[in-house]
Amino acid sequence: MKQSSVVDLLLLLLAIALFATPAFSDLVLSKVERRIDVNSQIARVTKTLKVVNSGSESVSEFILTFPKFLGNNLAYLSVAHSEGKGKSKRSLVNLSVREADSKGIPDSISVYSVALPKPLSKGDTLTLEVVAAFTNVLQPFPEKITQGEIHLVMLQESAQYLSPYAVESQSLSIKLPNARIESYTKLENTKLQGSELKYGPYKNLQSYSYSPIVVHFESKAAFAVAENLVREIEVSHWGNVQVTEHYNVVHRGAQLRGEFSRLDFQARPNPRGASAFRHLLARLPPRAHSIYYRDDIGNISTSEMQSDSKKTELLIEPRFPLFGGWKTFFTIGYGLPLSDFLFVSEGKRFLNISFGSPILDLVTEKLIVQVVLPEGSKDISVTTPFAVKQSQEIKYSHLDIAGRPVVVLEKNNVVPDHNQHIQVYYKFSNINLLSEPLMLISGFFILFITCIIYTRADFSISKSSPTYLAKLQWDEVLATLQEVQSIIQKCLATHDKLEASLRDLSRTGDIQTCKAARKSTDSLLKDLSKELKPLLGFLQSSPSASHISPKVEELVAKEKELEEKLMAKHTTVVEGYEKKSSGRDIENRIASQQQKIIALRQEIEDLLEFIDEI
Amino acid sequence: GKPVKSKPGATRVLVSEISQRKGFHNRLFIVPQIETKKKKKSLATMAAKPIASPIPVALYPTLSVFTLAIGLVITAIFFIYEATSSRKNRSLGKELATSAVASVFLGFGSLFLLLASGVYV
Repeated sequence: MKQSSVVDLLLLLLAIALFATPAFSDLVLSKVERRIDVNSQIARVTKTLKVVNSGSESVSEFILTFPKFLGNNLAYLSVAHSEGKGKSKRSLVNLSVREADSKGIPDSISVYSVALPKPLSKGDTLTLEVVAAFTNVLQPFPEKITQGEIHLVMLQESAQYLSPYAVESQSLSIKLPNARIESYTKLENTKLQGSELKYGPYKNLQSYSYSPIVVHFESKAAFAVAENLVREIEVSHWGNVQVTEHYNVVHRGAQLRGEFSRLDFQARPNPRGASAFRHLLARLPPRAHSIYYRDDIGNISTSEMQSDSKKTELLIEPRFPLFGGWKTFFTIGYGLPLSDFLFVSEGKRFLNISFGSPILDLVTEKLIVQVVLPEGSKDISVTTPFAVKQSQEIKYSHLDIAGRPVVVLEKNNVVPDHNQHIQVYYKFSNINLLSEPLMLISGFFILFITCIIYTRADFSISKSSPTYLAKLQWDEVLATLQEVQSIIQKCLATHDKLEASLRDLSRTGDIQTCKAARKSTDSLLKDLSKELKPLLGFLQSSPSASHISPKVEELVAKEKELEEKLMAKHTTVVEGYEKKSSGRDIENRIASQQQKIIALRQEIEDLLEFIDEI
Repeated sequence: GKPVKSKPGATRVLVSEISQRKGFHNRLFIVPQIETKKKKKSLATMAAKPIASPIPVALYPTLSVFTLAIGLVITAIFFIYEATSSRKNRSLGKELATSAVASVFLGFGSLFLLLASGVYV
């Protein structure tokens, strides 16, 4: 708030006045260039610092300071140093930064310590590039506006670079959006060129020099802040990575005072509502499929998607435009192909996926990323380019026995600079993939076993009731019938064999094999008729088969007749061959027999069908 | 968490620790990374092979139709056998064999059906 930052400012100036300490180690900043970009709701500061070691000892640590009201809102900080000479050979190397104890430094300053790659010896220079992103430093002023007013925000900074080292030359340039600039602090060497505000260059300043400036300007950016974002990334080795994101978005700009008039909002040619935003643009990875955009009410149809080979752009429009202080909530889900994100190296698998929200220019106050790995994953570890809070959970989902391990990563105050890739390492063997179909197979198998048990078990309550006994008898009759059927089929098969041997005879003229076949079929048929006798006897004796047994007897009789006729035919043909009479003679002799045989066969088959249907 | 030693030759990016509040517990589990002297490389050059599903995803619908059809046919054979055979003549071996084969096909068929309809189990 404006009040507390003014107090901070005064405290700072007081502290500097009281604690005017000499230079903190012997580094000197020979040139400092600062560029602040306030085109979005985040203030992005890029600093290029040329550090010279003017002392006698080598220094391996560099101290970065920010005023406390900025330091509390610092979301992202990265320091790199460029190797190579000249602007063309810039290769940036990230250095480690950590918050340091402020010994000898006033309390109203946040301190960060940068570890230099190699100690800076006497007389050496080093160029550092610092990128810092601050949220909540563009304060809306006035804090409550009506629908028709423009959105004015205020930025407080220092024209002179606050550092524990002496600064030889420095300059600051603030890039404002291409809109109205209400006012700005005018110091010496201040220039406004178009929408760029330049302060400096200032020469030869002491350490901890600070001159506050305030810039009041109109911001056209959407101050969309997600209070709460839960991102669930589910990995399935069957070929899909499913991402589901639950958003609670609020407009953190100047609050709306008074009522909202839809008529004014949609009036042409001058619509009122410049401070509101309607659209949010999300940039998803290429080949994202099955994208849905819904909330608790149902599907939200105001969305557009455009995909190409490098990205998939999703433009979503919430159910209403968002003015200051208004909230909305929604869920976005999409599926990604597995081979774009899951890799294997050195025996371990890892998932390489982006960390933050895909929506551009969205600040997230609390981000929770849950990476759900398949069941059976072991040795899970996470690598992130920045600090996150980790924990592990278990999630029970489809076809799970022990549950799936979930890695939960939490981070507060996430800005789009954090949208880098994280890696989740784990071990998994493909055999564990089989457990899912095995579960389904065993489920179906249990179903079948139940059927088998049901048909075999005897569930009747009374074992001596007449219906039960009648049922038992009928079962026996059916069994006998089936056996009779099988025997008759076997007889018919042997008849077929006999006919086949006759055909062979006509082809090859070999009488001996024919006779041998005849002999074997004779013996087979004798055996079969022996088996048939007891079955027939049973059928005749049982009372429930009374209507069937005549049919069965008829069948057996017909079969016998067929047998005899076939045997007769066989003998005539063989005799004919022995006597070497012509083919036509033989055919004439067996013609009538053949007809009878065919007729008999037909009748037998009809009877068999009838028995089948019982 | 246990501290993890960094592997030599691993090219991962640094962790910069920024805490927003006092007393913030940083339960970090992460490799304290060494600076890389080269530009940030894409992971493709790190001998990292992409993993795909054991069966091509485009085959899921076809596979599900065929395996389910075969499974249902064998189930039909099983139930026909149950219905037409009499108590005395039933053979347990035949029943178990048919039901085993049918359940294998039905199990895989239902798995591919779930995958083809988007439920990536």
